[in-house]
Amino acid sequence: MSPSQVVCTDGLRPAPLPKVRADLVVSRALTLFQRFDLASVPRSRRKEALRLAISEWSPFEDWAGAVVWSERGAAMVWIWEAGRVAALAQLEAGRAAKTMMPEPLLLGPGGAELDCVRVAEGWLARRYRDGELQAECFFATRPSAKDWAAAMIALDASTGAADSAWATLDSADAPPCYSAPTARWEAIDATRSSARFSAERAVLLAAAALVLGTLWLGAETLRDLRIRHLQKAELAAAERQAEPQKAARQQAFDAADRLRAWATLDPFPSALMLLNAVAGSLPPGAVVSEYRLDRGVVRATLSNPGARQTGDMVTRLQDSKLFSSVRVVPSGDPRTLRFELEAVSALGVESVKP
Amino acid sequence: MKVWGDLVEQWRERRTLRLGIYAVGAILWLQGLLVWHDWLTASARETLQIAQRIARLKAEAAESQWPQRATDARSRLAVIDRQVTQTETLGLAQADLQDWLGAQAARAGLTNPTVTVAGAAQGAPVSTGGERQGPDRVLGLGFQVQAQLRADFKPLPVYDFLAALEKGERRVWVESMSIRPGAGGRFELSVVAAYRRAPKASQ
Repeated sequence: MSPSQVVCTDGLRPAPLPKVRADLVVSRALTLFQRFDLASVPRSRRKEALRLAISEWSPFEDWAGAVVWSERGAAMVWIWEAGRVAALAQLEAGRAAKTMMPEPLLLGPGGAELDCVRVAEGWLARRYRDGELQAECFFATRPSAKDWAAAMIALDASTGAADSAWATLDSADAPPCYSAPTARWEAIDATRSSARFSAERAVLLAAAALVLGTLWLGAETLRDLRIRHLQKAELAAAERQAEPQKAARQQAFDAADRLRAWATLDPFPSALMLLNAVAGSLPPGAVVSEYRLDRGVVRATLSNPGARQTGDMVTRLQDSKLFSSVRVVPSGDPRTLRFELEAVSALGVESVKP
Repeated sequence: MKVWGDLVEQWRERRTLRLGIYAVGAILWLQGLLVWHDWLTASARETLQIAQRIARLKAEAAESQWPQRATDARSRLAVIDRQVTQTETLGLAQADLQDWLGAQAARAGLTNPTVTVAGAAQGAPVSTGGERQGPDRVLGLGFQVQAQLRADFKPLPVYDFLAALEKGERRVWVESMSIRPGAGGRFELSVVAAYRRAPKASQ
């Protein structure tokens, strides 16, 4: 980590040891101090109230600073002109915005009602009550007696304390020695508080959403795993129960395939059945003069058929269910009648389906 | 330790660093959630498929008619299989069919019967209705033998002969039949018989 530096009115200076947890220390010469009593404001609203109060009091439109909260709800605030300090810091360092801490936070607590300490670019008088900082007065040059008296009036210091502090002014000529801040402090500024709040709130919201998503997915996963566990047992039981039926079905299908193959070789009713059907449908007195069967097609020629009974014969042939088509073929001889009959194919009606 | 201390220091002091790391962590976390969600979706789909499979199996288990159907189909098949004779060669099959047809004709009383056997290629069906190799392969047939029978036509012997064919001692089917009744009437029949190839006897 690079050593801390002090932003002074003339630029950056190395900070006195020890190193502090801040990139930059803002010289007291660039800061203003004010104490705000916000004890009457609810704790949850104090930060926003303080920001509004500082905005009203601050002579800088673009201010930044630090705040230390007392237990009694008072805020000790140091502010500076953010743009000017940033410009001074970047003038030398050429770096982006850094953590900045006001110089008075590094000076240690005062032990008396009033003290005067040396700072980077002058002297600082501080008045305390019950160990709590009440007011500060900065002197860019060593104060004269007249300046001191005026400052004591502004600080509302008692005469005794003012005299005693004046007596110690000589010992405050030594260069300042920084120490770690004893009070907990936080940064505050005019423009970034809401943005910071939004960013932090966005982080919290995102984290909450992710946690919710994780919980939901976890619950869904547990539910899915539980269902799968139950399914595993149920599936095994169902497979056991269905196994005999599946085996029987497969056997039936195999047998049906073979029966269908036989039907492919011999798809028509037997020759005897076809001959019986034709003989049984003959009208009285009719004689078969020729009968031919060729691959399921019967061609028969009748002699002496009764013309009025031809229709009955066709009906009887159709009713036999052995023929899919019954046709009378024209013949040149009125004494003969020719029929062409197509036998029903087992392949067409799937009669072998089990 | 110094590096670690510096890292801790940076973490405490640099808000941008913290926000950046939070953002990276959130993105990785979100990516993990998306991958998890994809896995869960696939798992849910698989769960649904298993549920459908269970429902199908239960429906199949409730179909109690299959054993009876299988028994019926096997019985019908057994009847047909018994009608198919096994021979070692095509010649034996042709001889068997010729003898059997001659015997049936004589038993039926056909007069002047003549039986001629046509050659049939091994395993090649004579009449298969277009599916030339299918049924043979399914049924494991070795030979199909075609035979023609010619005899004088007399109604009763012809009926008896046809009835004998239908009785089922041999798996034969009529391809064509011609009857010319009257004086000098003729009866002609073309049949096909199926044979299985018998395993050759070991020497």
